[in-house]
Amino acid sequence: MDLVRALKSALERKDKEKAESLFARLYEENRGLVIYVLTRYLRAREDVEDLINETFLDFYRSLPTIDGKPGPYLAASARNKAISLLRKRSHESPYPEDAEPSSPDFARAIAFEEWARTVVGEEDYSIISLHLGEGFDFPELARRTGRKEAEIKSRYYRALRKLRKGERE
Amino acid sequence: MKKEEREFLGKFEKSAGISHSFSELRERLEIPESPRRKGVPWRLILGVSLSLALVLAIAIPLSLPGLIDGQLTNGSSSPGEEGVPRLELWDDVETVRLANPKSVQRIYESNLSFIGDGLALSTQGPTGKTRLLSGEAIHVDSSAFREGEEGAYPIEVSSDEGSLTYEVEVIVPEVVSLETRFLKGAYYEGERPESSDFLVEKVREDGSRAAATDSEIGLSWDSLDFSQGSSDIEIFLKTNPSIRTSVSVDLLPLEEIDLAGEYAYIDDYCTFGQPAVEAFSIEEGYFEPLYTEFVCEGEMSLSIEEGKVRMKLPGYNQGGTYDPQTRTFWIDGIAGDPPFACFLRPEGTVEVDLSFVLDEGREETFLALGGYLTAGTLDYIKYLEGDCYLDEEHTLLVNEDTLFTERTRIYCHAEDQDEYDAVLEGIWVDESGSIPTVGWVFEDGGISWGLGTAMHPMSVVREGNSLLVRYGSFEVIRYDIATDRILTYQDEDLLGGTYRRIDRENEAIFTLTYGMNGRDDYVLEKGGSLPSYIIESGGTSISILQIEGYQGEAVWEDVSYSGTVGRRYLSDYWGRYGDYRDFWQIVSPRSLGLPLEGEGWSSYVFCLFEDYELVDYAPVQFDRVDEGVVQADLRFASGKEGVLFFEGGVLRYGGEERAEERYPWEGLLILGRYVSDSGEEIEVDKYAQLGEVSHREDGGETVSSSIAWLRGYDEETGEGTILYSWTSVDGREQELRECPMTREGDVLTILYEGVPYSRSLA
Repeated sequence: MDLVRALKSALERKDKEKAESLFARLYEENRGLVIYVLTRYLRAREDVEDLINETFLDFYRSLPTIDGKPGPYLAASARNKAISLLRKRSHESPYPEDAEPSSPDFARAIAFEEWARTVVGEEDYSIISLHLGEGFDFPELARRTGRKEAEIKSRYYRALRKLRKGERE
Repeated sequence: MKKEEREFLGKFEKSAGISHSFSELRERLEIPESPRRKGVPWRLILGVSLSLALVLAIAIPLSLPGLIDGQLTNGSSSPGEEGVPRLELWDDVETVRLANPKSVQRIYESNLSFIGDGLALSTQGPTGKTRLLSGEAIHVDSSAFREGEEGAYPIEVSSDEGSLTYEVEVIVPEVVSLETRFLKGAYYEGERPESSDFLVEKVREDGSRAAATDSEIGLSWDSLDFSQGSSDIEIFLKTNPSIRTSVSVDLLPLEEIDLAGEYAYIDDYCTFGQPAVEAFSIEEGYFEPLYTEFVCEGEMSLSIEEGKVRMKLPGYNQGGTYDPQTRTFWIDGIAGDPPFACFLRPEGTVEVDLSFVLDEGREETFLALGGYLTAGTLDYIKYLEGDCYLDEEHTLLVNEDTLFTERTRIYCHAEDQDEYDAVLEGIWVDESGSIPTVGWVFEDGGISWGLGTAMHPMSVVREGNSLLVRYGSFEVIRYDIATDRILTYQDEDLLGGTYRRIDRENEAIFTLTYGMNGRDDYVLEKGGSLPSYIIESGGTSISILQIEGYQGEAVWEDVSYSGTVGRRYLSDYWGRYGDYRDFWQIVSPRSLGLPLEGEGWSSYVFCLFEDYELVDYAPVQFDRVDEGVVQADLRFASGKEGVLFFEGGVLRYGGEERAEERYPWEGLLILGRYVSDSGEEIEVDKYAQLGEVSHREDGGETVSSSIAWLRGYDEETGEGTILYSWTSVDGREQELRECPMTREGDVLTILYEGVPYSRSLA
């Protein structure tokens, strides 16, 4: 049984202990993804930390309507919340590529991404960024690049492996 | 989420420094609780496996007759020019060692002659790469060896890259016979006998016994006629062929093959080293993956195809093929990756566990093949974490001679030789971009990437003619003494980058700060100036600099300005602009099969389509920024010239502005699923794509789509031609293929790859 179904089942049974431990696991497995998405958009640590809570709480409240893997839902939800927050603040652009790409809070994260770009190359890193950060699925990325979906997938996992095994430059 | 994704996101999260825990979230979750559970104490979960606590590591450092390591000349630090300390080069490479020490025969009974079989050298050059030298690349001098005369004798093995001497010993008793055990059980059609299939013991005249090394065992046989069911194999000592014995072995058809066992894989996708790792196990026909890249599992179904055994697993595309000629079990690669060469673990193989120190919490298990860690495994660990030891106190060093007899935990330690810090001190320049930038910075015993980033602690160790600098797990760079450059590595044989020292006499640093803490440090020749934009990656990306109070003045000393940096990527403009019939398109030339020199993954063309037809095209790259607008000069295939303007998400060309059309074929008559006589499906979608539909065993489906165009299309009837971009499985070949579309009554038919696929409009 997958995690979402197991969590739903525990909630139906009102097994608080089980539900809490399953949700903790879901949180641990997906927190990195949510942070990655939120930092595409937000510049302040407090904003990111607030929206991590909001994203997971929203996921919890929407559980009855969610099926399958939690990652895509959480990523989309985090993205929407970040953009929504930025729109409320008229002085900030909702589009990260136009925003100033740094902050004191995430300087190391930005340096990490710069490193990742040099390790796998701009194009392959953009596949990682678009897939994990922007939520584009592989068919969509294949459409954008005019490549076969299988090739995009292959480049994506190869790039991740390269990052796993590569060293900092 | 896959392991690679988790690891990447984990590293990102770590660098983002977000402190967030489940506990603060838990308080806001309103989880319902069944009344009957109230008051029930939480169960205690024993999270510690007793078996873990009982495992005691036992490993025996093998004592061998005097192995003499490659002789080295001691180096020393001496001040270089302008007070920069420089290191003297050592004459020899740092390590020259015997590769595969287990297969080297070191003890000779008095009736045996010397044998050089199995000898190979492992050498490490200035970049840290290990090279294996054998055959004609090495010379073996055994002139000191005295057959039959008790004593120790030096054997010299030399090569162009270094030499070493090791000792062999001649002992008095003679070998009188051999005792053998056939380990493999049987040979299956296509397999050939190998010495490692046999356990051979030499029986000496005094009654003692010794295991023969693989290199001294010779095999011979008349023929391997698998129809006969068995054959005799002669086993002899190459060091004295008169000492021999014979073993009868079973010869069985491939259909009867027993693939059960535990398999190993040499992971060759590492920057340094090639560790031997667990691959998979097969027990009673069940395939269980152990290596992270293997995603398939289950009951195997086997078939014989062209003299090989093909393995399939229900519900998985990934399978495998056992090739009896090479005894290699090839596991299919995922998504076009090459297959993985796996092999049955040799007798005596045990697991060796390592807890990483620098990458805290990371655990890996390696294999000591036949009881020994390979040079490739030790290289891999050493590169990442330092030397390996049998004890936590780091006193019992593990090397290729260390025999492991059962599962063992080892420990790593990278010594910090801080006397070398001064050599690295200073700023190192990255020259890979169009404008040099500050790369590595060494200061006060720490290391950082760029001037504005946090310092990391580091350990520096001299290895031959280079310094190995570690500042985190998988975070290793090397200083090459000979060239005075810092080297980084991107892939096994690919240099990631080289960095030179800054020339403080003639260079100045232009620091641009942006946002709240963004920072770039450009290295300029004194008297030079920083441009307002920087074109990168061959014109596929551009950084636009807006610097407050700086108008391009000459820079003579380090300066710092604030401003903003905007980055744009050409890939963001990929797409069609206009309606489905007349449009502009920015696309990879490969997709259209256009003959452009130097085209590759990151090259693009700007195409003009009129009435469905491609009428002209031009390579496109960012060329400049003028009045805040990014521009590209176009030189079309027809010879015509023009300028393309990138304004936000809109393109301007020839006085006309167009926005991207996300769904170019939306609403067209031809959209939908088409089915062939055999039930296979293709799909034409609103994204202007043609795709093959495959149905998975889990009930889902996958559409593998390719970018497409129309030619001679009639929207009234749906007739015309679809052109789609065909790509070979390995992605190397790409061409435009035609699919004619016809209509009979309410039935539309597309001829795809020569097969008609139809769809009813009714």
